[in-house]
Amino acid sequence: MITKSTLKLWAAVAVLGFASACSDDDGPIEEPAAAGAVVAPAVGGPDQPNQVFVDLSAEETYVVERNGWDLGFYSGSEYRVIINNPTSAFARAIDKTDLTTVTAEDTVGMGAQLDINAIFGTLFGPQVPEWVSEATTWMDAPNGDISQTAIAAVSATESQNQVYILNRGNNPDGSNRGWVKLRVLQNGNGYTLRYAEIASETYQEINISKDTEYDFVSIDLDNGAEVSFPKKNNWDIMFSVWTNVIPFSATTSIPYSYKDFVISNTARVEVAVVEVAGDVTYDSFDFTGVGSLTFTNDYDAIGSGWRTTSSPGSDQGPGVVDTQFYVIKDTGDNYYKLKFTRLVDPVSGERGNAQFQYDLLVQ
Amino acid sequence: MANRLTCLIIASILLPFMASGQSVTFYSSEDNINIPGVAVQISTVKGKTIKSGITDASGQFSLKGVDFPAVLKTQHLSFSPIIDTLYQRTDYRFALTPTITDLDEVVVTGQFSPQSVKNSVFRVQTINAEQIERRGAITLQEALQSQLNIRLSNDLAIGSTTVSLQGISSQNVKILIDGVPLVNRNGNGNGADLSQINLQQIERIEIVEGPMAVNYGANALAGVINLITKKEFKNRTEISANLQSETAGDEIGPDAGRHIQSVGINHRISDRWSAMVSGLHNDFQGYQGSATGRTYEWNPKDQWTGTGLLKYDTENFSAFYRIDVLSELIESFGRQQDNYTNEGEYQPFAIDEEYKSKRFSHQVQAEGKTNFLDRYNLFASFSDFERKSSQFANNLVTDERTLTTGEGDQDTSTYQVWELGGAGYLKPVDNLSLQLGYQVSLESVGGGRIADGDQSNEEYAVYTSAEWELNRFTLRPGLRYTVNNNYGNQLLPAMQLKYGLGENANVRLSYGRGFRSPSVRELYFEFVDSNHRIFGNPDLQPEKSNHFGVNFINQYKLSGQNVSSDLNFFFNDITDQISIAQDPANVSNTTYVNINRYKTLGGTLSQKATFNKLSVSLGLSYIGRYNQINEGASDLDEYFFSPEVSSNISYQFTKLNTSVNLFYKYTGALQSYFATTNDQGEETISIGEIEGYSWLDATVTKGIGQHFELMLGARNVFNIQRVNNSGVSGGAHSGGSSVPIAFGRSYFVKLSYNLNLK
Repeated sequence: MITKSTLKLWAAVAVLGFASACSDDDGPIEEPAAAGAVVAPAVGGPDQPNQVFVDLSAEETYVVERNGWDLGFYSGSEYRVIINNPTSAFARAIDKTDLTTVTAEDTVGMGAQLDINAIFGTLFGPQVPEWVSEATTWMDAPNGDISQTAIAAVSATESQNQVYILNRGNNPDGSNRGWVKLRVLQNGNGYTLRYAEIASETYQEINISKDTEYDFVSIDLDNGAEVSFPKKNNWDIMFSVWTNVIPFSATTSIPYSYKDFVISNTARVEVAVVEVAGDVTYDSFDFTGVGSLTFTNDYDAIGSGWRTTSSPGSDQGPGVVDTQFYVIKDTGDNYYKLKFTRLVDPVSGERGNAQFQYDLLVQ
Repeated sequence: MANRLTCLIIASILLPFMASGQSVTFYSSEDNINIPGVAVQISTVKGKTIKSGITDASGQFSLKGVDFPAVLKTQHLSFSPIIDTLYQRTDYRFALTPTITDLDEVVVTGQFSPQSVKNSVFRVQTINAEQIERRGAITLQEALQSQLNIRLSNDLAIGSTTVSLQGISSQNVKILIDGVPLVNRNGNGNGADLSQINLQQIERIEIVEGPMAVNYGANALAGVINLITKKEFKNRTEISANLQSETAGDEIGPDAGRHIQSVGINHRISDRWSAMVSGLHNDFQGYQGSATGRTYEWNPKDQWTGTGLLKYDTENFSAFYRIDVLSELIESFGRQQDNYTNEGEYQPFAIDEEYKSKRFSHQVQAEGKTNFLDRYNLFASFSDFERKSSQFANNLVTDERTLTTGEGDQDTSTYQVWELGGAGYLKPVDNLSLQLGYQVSLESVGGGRIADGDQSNEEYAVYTSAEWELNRFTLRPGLRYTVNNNYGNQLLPAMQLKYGLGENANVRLSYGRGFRSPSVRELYFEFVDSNHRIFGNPDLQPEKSNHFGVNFINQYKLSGQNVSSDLNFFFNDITDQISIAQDPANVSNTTYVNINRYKTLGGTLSQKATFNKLSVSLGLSYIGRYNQINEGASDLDEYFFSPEVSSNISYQFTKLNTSVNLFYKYTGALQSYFATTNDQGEETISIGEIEGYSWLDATVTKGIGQHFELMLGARNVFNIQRVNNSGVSGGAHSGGSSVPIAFGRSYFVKLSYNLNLK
């Protein structure tokens, strides 16, 4: 059976939850874990406009437009802010704390430094600029390590919170989302965000409260509004374009944007890779095989390793790596085996049309 | 008895008078037999010709009417020429030394007139039809397999094979057919796919290393490979047919391996008109090897080629029209991919690709003499190349096949070229020849990812060169001036010097300046997606090179057998090499810029010997390829050197009408610097290498009766498939860690039929 990723389903869940809440049992609702399904996450085709969060046990997906948000305010104990990885956003501090005094002069050089295409391009320049080795510090660590974000920890001391120049990254069609200057302050158990266009002499201010049901409270700078994401326990893996870091030369690692990337819900999900060999096949695998597997909570345990792409000089086209499948221990401690069935659309041949199959491993 | 005696007496009295100052006789130094047919020229010491002609059946040439002293010069195809001064009216006898003709082929590339390899001012290497035949070679790729200084590389994705020469890539190797560039997907002569060039009607392959820019213009920095087509035949009508079947590795059968059928008909219509027609079907069914399911390691390739020649000949004029046709289909079958329909039905699919290439080349060439030109030639050619790549999605349950819609999935690239040219040859004085020529190239290139879909390249060139003989020196300066609509003017000088050390030994020095035009792709490419923003650069300048060469050749006899040796050194220095780079005008874009430097240097030593029925050649080469990374880090090697060894051995069993042939080449490891990450996670520069490998082909041919010949052969006897490449750094597009060479040892059988009607 196929699960379609629509918000209607979430509405249905909500209704179901409501119905359950009205029943005799007032304790926490334990839906039985889904037995498995075939899912085609709505990444949206070749430009991959969507981030798709998958909740295996609920058999549901949740779609967020990847260019629909800019900043995520951490709801954990630290005061941290992430920038948008899927659009390849970059941010860099400048030595000012007053937004109104920031002008274009403060951003000299950043046109190249904070632009993923320009950073990539420098590698082909006559002279690779020295700053290239720093470029990966102007993005958030792709593994989600909250201590390695482009924007430093938000200090309780207001004067220590510098102004940041943010390149909001690129839209799915490749166009730039624009640049802003911003400054984040602590505000009780939350944050104050001030932001404006680079040349602006005024700024907008919004207050954001932490919400522990979510890892981050996300904001869209187009309208200053909060953007809806799934709750932190309501997703296991996420399909998206992902700006990763790759070593390019002996001295340089650079940001590089991967399509059809799969991220684990690192804090709560573990993944093991199973190589198909002899008797070990997806169909034959059952719970008895779990014990011998090595699980990791790496963000890229699935990553880009599940698929192949075409590369120059190789006859290999885009597709799934069919010599392996995965076992996932999800947020509800259920074990699922998961196999990718396709990467491209079976008619148009275009990427961004992944499909996978998963089945509950009954204990 | 008395009569005889009388005759003898009369003769002995008369003979001294008859012979006195009246004739010169030539005989062979080898067997003392007099030589008829020696061309003789007698001139005054000031160089004015008094008398010329050829020796009669008894090897004599009359000196009647000659004033002494006089200068005698001879020419004969099989004997070395002599020059001597005759001081008095007397009887002369000269011994002529047979030339080593077995080893000395006539070449035309870059020559004023057909010239022997040894006397050519350029160093020209040849592979003749017999050698091609003995190898069972169908395409140029197979014929060059064991050639020194040449390396082939295969692109499995698109099924092409390209060549590098003197360590310089295929974009700089120009492939010509009778001097006219062979248009292909990548360029006008350069970057050609050798597997698309069939040798059915090729008389000889001539390879000249070093830029032949004065005569052949752009894109020959490394050299030219000139395919000389067959235009002559002996009989009134000749019919030939060949059937060849080949395994692909261990895959054999009617639906596996390779199957080749060809026919050719030559016919002399009249004294002046002759025609040749041929066709060839080269059907490679692919090699599955370790690939599984629907896929192949080497994709199936089906080629049809045809040629037609119509030739008109008179004493002072000849002309021909030639057409070459290619139709090729390469199919790439994708692997099965799983898929469930929205209704939950399991319907796997596969993405397949198809590459259809078509080439039509028309060529008209004329050659003749006029009152004021010793010789002239003219050519006009039109080539039309089209390559259509298609991608399909196949539903493996319903068999529905639809074109995919991704960007660049469906593409047709076209390349059309008009090439016009001509040259005239003058000999104002005896020891000076002049060449004056012009060339016009009009190219039109189209296809997806080319800005505006269609771009053109126009080039007009005039060139001149002279061959000046001064005692033992031959000096050949040359100059070419070209005007190009994309990047303006170029002035290209070249200088060749040949010095005769002896009759069969020469030293050659050569300097040449060459250039490579930016390709249309480099000028006008457009490719934008989420990870790439690549644009061509219309302001590109040509890549330029300086080539220096030193060459010694010597032909001598070793225990009565012919031996030739060739020692060659070269240095190529390429500046303004085009590479992909950041666009200074828009840092988000990458483009093509003239920034790189590349050099190669090396030497080759080759020996050829013929001992009766055995002919053996052995060659060594050692080529250094430049590491530009050394410019920033002087502790790194400037060059990485790689050796090559090549040997061909052939033995004729005359009585059995059988020959056995071996073709061997060792291709040395190719090193390069690459970036890698060590155990501590630090990035370091390492030396990687593509492994060396040995290649051996072996064939046996046997004539059966008058009309048939059978050939058995083995290609790639050492069963090389892929060689390891340790020089691969990480990155988004890290290629495979091995380089495909061939599909393993394969065997073939060929049956040839020839019918000659007088």
